[in-house]
Amino acid sequence: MATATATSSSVILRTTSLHKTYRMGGEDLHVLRGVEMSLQKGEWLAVLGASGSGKSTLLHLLGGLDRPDQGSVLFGGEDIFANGSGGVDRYRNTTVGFVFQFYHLLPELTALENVVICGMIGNGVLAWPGVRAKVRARATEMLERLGLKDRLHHKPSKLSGGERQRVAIARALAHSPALLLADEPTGNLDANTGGQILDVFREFHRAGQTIVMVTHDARVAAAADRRLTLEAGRLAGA
Amino acid sequence: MDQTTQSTTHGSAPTASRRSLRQRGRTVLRRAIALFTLWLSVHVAAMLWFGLHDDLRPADAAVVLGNWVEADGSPGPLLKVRLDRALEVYHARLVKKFIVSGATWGADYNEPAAMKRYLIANGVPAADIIEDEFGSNTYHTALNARITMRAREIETVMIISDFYHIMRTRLAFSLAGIDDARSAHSNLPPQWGVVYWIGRETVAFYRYLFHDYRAQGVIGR
Ligand SMILES: Nc1ncnc2c1ncn2[C@@H]1O[C@H](COP(=O)(O)OP(=O)(O)OP(=O)(O)O)[C@@H](O)[C@H]1O
Ligand SMILES: [Mg+2]
Repeated sequence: MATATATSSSVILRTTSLHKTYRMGGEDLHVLRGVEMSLQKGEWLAVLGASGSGKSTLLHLLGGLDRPDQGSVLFGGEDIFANGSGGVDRYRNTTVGFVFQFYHLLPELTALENVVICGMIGNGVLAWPGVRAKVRARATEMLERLGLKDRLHHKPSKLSGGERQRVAIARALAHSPALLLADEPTGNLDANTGGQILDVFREFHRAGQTIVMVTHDARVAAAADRRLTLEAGRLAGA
Repeated sequence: MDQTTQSTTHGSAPTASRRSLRQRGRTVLRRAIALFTLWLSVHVAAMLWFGLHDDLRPADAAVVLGNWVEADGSPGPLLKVRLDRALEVYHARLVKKFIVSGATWGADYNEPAAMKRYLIANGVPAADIIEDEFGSNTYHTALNARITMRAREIETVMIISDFYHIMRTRLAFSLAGIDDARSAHSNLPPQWGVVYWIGRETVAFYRYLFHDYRAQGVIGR
């Protein structure tokens, strides 16, 4: 924790006492009870915790998918929720890349097309050949970097679980987000294939990628620079 | 005709005419069955065409039709595959928002809330998910979708449901004044229940077709 706060200039992401309560039926579930954390640029943080401890909830707040009831998420010193829904949409679409346990690739498209279509519509100019070529080149580069050179034109149904997850990672990183948020990225994979996904993370991390990864598996968390555990709604160093 | 029948059937006239009547009855029945079978196959063919032939043009929002939710709040198997399909089109940026429509029961059973939760857990911003808690049947889902579309300036929608349900949902949407809906079907694992659902859908389709919902005065463009 001391290193994280030492040089405030290199802190990329910080939260102030995050609270989140879910209302289920008639009952309130106070999941996050004052979560404080800060993350250095280029750091790889793992958040551990039992099932139901609120790891995913925290990740959703960090990525602007959901809003905290109290407290704020500061990226580069700015509150991501301060500038209305347009601001948080921009943050989510340009600054963050998400990877989840399941891949949700469109089965009608090839691996390459799955990555391209995202970037194309993100650009807004579907028919502009210049953009198209650039997006395509970038998608190809990402997939090749992820070891999918021979799989570019395969449909998801012809890919293994690990390969599908790598396509999803390519899609998440194609727009070069400053922050990669991953929720149990190896949760649906066997240990061996999960290890390959962690190798991919390691490689991007070495190249400077900042990562927050949520997992309940201590062996997976061991790959990160630093581990925090979510317990009783708060984060503690591990 | 009676004359000839009688003269050719030496004596036992009443039995014979009964027999020929029965024969004629059987022919009519056979024809009726043939017609019914023909109509049924045309109907099922249409159902399969609408259901399996996805229209993946981009839309402003996807409308996901609710289904069974488990006691722990996770989507049941049918609902899960619908939501997975919804997430595929969302992550390919074919839709920007969601209308999740389903039933609620008491304080603990809530299909739209469960759907919203599953979508958020898989990367959809909470703010882009609109819950319709009064979508207890397909027709109500369609009506509420129309109202939501007007209120939220959503112009085009993509229907997401099981393949056998898409044709009736399209009918309900057009009764509610939503034409030109896109559609995508869920990836149902093969199961015998499909035969029953296809039968049920067939009956329900004509209920929707012949019931004058417009008379209820809720619809208008
Ligand atoms: N939208 C929601 N509505 C109601 N309750 C919710 C919602 N999302 C999460 N919860 C509840 O909040 C608690 C924390 O959920 P969360 O998904 O953040 O836990 P988690 O640590 O990620 O668990 P897991 O390891 O099982 O993924 C759980 O009890 C969960 O049931
Ligand atoms: Mg989780």
